[in-house]
Amino acid sequence: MKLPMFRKVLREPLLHFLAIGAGLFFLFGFMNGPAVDRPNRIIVTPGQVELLAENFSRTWMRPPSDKEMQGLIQGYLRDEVFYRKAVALGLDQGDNLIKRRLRQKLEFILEDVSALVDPTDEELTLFLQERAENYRQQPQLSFRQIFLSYDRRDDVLADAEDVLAQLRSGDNPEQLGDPTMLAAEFERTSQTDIERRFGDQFSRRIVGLPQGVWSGPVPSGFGVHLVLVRERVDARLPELGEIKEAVKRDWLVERRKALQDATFRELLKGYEVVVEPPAAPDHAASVAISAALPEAAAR
Amino acid sequence: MIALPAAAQDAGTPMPGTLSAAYPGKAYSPYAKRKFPETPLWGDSHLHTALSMDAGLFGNRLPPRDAYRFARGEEVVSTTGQAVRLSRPLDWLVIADHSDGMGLFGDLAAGKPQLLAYEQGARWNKGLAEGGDAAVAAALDLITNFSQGKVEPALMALYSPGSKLYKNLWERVIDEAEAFNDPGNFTAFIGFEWTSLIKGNNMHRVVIMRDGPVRARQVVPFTMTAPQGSPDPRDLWKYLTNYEEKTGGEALAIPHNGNLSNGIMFPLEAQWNGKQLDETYVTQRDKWEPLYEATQIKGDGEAHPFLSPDDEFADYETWAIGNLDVSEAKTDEMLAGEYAREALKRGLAIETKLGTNPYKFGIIGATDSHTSLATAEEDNFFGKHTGYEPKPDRMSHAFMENENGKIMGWQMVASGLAAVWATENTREAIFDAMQRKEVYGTTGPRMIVRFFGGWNFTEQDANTRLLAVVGYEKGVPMGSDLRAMPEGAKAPGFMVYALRDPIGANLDRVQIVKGWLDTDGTTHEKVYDVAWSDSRVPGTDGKLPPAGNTVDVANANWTNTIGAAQLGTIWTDPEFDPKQKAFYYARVLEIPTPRWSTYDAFRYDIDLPEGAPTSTQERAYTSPIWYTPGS
Repeated sequence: MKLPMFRKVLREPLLHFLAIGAGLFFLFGFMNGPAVDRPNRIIVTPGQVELLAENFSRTWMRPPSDKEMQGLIQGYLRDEVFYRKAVALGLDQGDNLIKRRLRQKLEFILEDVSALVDPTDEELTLFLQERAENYRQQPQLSFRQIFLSYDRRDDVLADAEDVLAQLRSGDNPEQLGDPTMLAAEFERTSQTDIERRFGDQFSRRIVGLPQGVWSGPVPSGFGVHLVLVRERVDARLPELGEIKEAVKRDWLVERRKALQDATFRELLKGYEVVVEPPAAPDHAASVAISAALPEAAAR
Repeated sequence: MIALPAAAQDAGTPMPGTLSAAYPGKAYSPYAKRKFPETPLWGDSHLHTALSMDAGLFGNRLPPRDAYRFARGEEVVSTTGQAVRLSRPLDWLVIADHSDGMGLFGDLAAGKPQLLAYEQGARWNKGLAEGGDAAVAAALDLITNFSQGKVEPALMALYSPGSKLYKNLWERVIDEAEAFNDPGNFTAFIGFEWTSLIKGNNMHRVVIMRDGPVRARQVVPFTMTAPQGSPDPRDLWKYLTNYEEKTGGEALAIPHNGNLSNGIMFPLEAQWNGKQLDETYVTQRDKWEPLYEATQIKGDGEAHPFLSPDDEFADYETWAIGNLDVSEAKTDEMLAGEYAREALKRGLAIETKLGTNPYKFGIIGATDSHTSLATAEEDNFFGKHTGYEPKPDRMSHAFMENENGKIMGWQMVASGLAAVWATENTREAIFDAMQRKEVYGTTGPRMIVRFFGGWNFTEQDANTRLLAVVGYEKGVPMGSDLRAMPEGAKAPGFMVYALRDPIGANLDRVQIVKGWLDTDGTTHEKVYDVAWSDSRVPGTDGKLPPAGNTVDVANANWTNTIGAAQLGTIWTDPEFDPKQKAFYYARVLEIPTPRWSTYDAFRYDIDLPEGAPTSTQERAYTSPIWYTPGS
């Protein structure tokens, strides 16, 4: 990861995350405290009963009857007993479903944490500059075009030279060329838009044409064109103020990802990763394993 | 029109002399004073994201924001880990997630305890977590239960109107659209899909709002499950009426996949529940459903060879095995209630009986993709849902299979898109163009099609350099009624022009499809070839010979050495009878190009499955122009 600017920002969300983690640990420890002391005791607190009733009414849009309440508590007890026994027997070990579910829970918390702090304008400006290519506004052209069709002419290129000469000597462009559905006039149209209308061959050629004179022929997928470029607006990098929402959206996406990666690496430090050599030496496999390990662990 | 004397207002009576300065006459510049659309705006009106229950269960993990980014032209990574990008951005997008069970999948993935308390919730959660084939099996089970109305009621209630959870979710949908709606550059509509199924018979509609968050937040989507929702389209129309009355906004509904409705999409006499069509039904349907989505991944629904035996292009990507879940097999009698062309014809007959044509719709295409990726191109097709994203065996897996028949993976259709003749790229302008049906559909390529009808087009108009100016001046655009027939006119003329996709294939031909109602109440249709490439001559049977085929199957390639870049003409109906109601629409065919399955075979170096065509003739369908005697 080469995202130096994220390090500073990350340190804080990571802190949030660790603090929340500690808080959760404390909270669950408190709630399950008595059970930890006396592993064979299951306490049904009034709070627990209320939670069961609440879940029920949220689903059914009414409170449970007494009989249903008893059923809910029975169900809760059954859950607890089986759950504890299963954990005691180690049935949660090596279960991919449970593993993935727990990993997901942590990742959800990270998602929430990453949205806690809004970026400052300085951070966004830096982000914008580092990715200038993504935000650069393309060159725009205003031009007029005249179309010559292969389907209507035997020698389009020769005709194009004639028409070009007429245009340069001041003939009315409205009387020249073949009928086409393409618009004749384009106002401040971006290079991408030109490409969408005429194809990339045309769009690459037209940006190099001189301004103020009829030029061509410029080929496209439709036929050939004679073009008068009237105005050119050069490519530029917009100010943050013009595109702040878009930059912020991208910034958040990257932060979320960076935070997940950073947290992973941070937590990984707490573990020693040992890769045992395969029984039969398998070069490909060991390359794959070392490639999969992040820098922190590879060292 | 009520003629008010001008003196009734404050400004006094205008004299001709004072007014001439205000209306100085014809503008010298032909480009001035033009308010008509210059270029069509391309979009997908029907895309699902991970928020749709079924999309989620098929494994889709991409939320709306990725769908918008992709549509805007950015590269994204699909759920199956493949980098993907459109050849060019779309101009607008409607994310139309299923309103029933919206968000259910996300919570199943998160293992929300409320859901796991239900046997179904727990079962689907398990399949989902296992991934792969188990996830696909869970999804099929969910769809089956859902389409047969067998999801546990309490579970459905959580994900239905009335619950807080549901309202929060809808607000998230609105916020996402708002974040990406960028007037002038990219339009993100607020919408949803109402997923009405009657025992597996498809009556789905996509609902699109013209409005922003302030109005959209005042409602939540309409569902099909009782008690809050209903599978009856009449109840959807009531919901739409209520939306407009309550918020002052505007909305419309677009039905799709009549081909999977087993005859109930376009009834001639009785509705799905056996009740006769009545005045309310026809006026409400006409009011709320100005468009029909006639082509998409689950089959092309313009025409069926059984209904149009004389049309050699009618059997295009046909899905006619059964209803949506193939729980009931198809019979020939059902077909007339399923296909767009037949519906347009039925509409003329119903109008004669009940006074309003309920099927006076414009035509569009959409993907209905469930991958969050609006892909409709043959060489860039990401499939119906996550289980059918590109991989070597996607063609040879059955997409649907039971005792009534099966549909194979290769039968998915890389289709379609909608082109809208809007004056600017905003919610309002695009919606208004949809309302006036100035739209057309394609099976994926972006050919530009203009279609005008009028009474005084001349041969010379075909050569004008200002086609649109003449078209709007002398006629009406696609989706309209012909102006009243002037004294002395003999038959309507149509100006039709098509320009190929700038990065696509040349055009084979332009056709005009006419449907009409004769005096004894029978409907008819006829397809005319009106413009074509390569100076071909029609045979003695009146049929134009094929354009040829340059597709190199082994290398999944073709050349534009046949066909034309642009085709157009002025065509006058040679068999016009002013006493008969009629409609006309244009169909534009490309020369053959490799079908998506051919690209798959080439890229994965595998054999094409038996039955899969090697090439396809992609096409555009315009909205019709209608003629009514005496109007």
